[in-house]
Amino acid sequence: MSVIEARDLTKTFGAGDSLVTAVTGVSLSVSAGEILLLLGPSGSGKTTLISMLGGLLSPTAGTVQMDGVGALYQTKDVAETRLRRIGFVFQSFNLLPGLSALENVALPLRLLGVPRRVAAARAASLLASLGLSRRSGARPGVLSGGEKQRVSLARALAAEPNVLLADEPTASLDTQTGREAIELLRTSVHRGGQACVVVTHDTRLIDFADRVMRIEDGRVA
Amino acid sequence: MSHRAARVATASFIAWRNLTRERRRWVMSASALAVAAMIVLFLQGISRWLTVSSTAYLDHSGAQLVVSEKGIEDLLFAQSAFPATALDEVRRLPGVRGVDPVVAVNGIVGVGHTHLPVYLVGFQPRVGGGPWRLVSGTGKPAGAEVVVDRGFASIANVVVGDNVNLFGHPLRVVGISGDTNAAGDFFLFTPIELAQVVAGTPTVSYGLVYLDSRAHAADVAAAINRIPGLEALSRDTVAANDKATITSSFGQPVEILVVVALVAGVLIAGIVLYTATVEHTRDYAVLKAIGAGRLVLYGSALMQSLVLSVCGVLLGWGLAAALGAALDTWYPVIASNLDVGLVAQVAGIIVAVNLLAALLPVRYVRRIDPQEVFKA
Repeated sequence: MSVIEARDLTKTFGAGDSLVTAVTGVSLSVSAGEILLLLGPSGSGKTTLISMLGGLLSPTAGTVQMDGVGALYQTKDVAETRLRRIGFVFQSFNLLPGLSALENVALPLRLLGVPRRVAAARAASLLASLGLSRRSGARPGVLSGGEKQRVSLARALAAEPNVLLADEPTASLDTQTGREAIELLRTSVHRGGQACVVVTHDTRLIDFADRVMRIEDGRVA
Repeated sequence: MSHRAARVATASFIAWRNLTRERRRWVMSASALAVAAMIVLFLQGISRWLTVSSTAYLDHSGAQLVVSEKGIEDLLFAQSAFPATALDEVRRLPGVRGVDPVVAVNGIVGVGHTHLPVYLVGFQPRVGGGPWRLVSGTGKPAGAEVVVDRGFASIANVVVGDNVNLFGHPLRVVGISGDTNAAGDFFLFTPIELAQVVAGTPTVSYGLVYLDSRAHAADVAAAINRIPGLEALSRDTVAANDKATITSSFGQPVEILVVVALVAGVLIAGIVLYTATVEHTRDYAVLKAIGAGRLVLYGSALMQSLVLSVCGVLLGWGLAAALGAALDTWYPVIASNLDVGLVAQVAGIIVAVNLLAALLPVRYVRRIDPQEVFKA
């Protein structure tokens, strides 16, 4: 049974002569514990697509259905839904530089109103499971790229979301670190049961995915 | 802790970390706000000093009524003169406990290479009407002796024991008084007989009237007003008239400066607070992307502004106090009265205005596109 399902997603920008169609009629569905790899070159519409799947960009046409939520863009508070249901892993990590690794991971929980100590314990446990227990007090500025991506993954998993969306998760890492990061992501998804969509242009990640969709010029190739 | 309280705590925490992450930048931002606050506080303190100092003599006299020549309703600016014997009639009125005669001479005297406005008070040292706070020496001059204001002494470079030439009379300084600079008009105190010589008339200028505890000031004033050539007003009325003149001549320009400083301060605050928010565009985009609500987003931006403003005001208060102390030490001609009440009032205005200025960054945060997070 699919956890997230998109139907005929289309996104256009501008109007008239300057109308640009970024995504045209893309449909997909991802089940619990499954990793879908959206593979496409730069400018193919991958980021626009993941933005719509994550509730960050409303589609011009089409729908996103999420298990237990319904139509994502018709929910009362899309931001709250993101916080509770969706975890993001970004290419450039996007950790808050003023917070320690532990505080970054605990942030979604604190935003959900989880008491500080409970949030910190959960964050510490996640960091430990990703081999970062000794780096929990470190600020992002002193972490390596691989460590930052692991913290980013821990933050994405902190609120136990149903859906995990990863945008070019290995693009800022060297080959070995990237391989380790995607392996960790796969292990976490298979263990946690999230529906995971990974957007990338890196064909080396194909082996790590359960399913691959190729995107070209905003369409499923 | 409720969800809302947890989110407020998280917003505060993020704001604090945003501010303290780059300490140098934080200090610079707080310093910019502090300078703006200092200027406003300092000027407002001068404005307060102008009004408080203009009535200091009357406020410290303890008199309930002030008797002057008919038609004269202030102390500092008009020249009142009436026969000293007229005060004997006042002394005989029921309810009057005592009357201190005072001779006042307004003028400009040359000291060193400059000229200073002075207000010479001739009084009876054994009775009252003299200086109320002494910095050094005695407050009871006799013969050709004078007590001079501290600012005057500083500019004239005189100390107790020196001689000064005032209104063509060589006088010996026997005391230095404090808080006797009425909005830039330096008080000098001499025996009443000497002041009459300086004034060139044996008349007196004012009578400070002290009443019995059971007497009604209005009744006694009415009785004095029936004496030909005299007018009696309450001390507060005369003080209010002096204050009104000072405010219209000196206070209003200072108030205009205060408003200008406040406007400049708002602009500085706006720029500083806006910059402090823009610097964290990416962070706000991340917060938006992961699902932070408006309470956290706007709360952290506002909290950041509030913390910066409070730090700026506290630092500005310290700077204004230091500036006032420096002025008091090296150029005691004007002063800045920074009492806690005034500081609280001005600080409240500054923080409120800064929070209004913080609406600009809040608007900015509202418009941040969470898709910013996908930029490499």
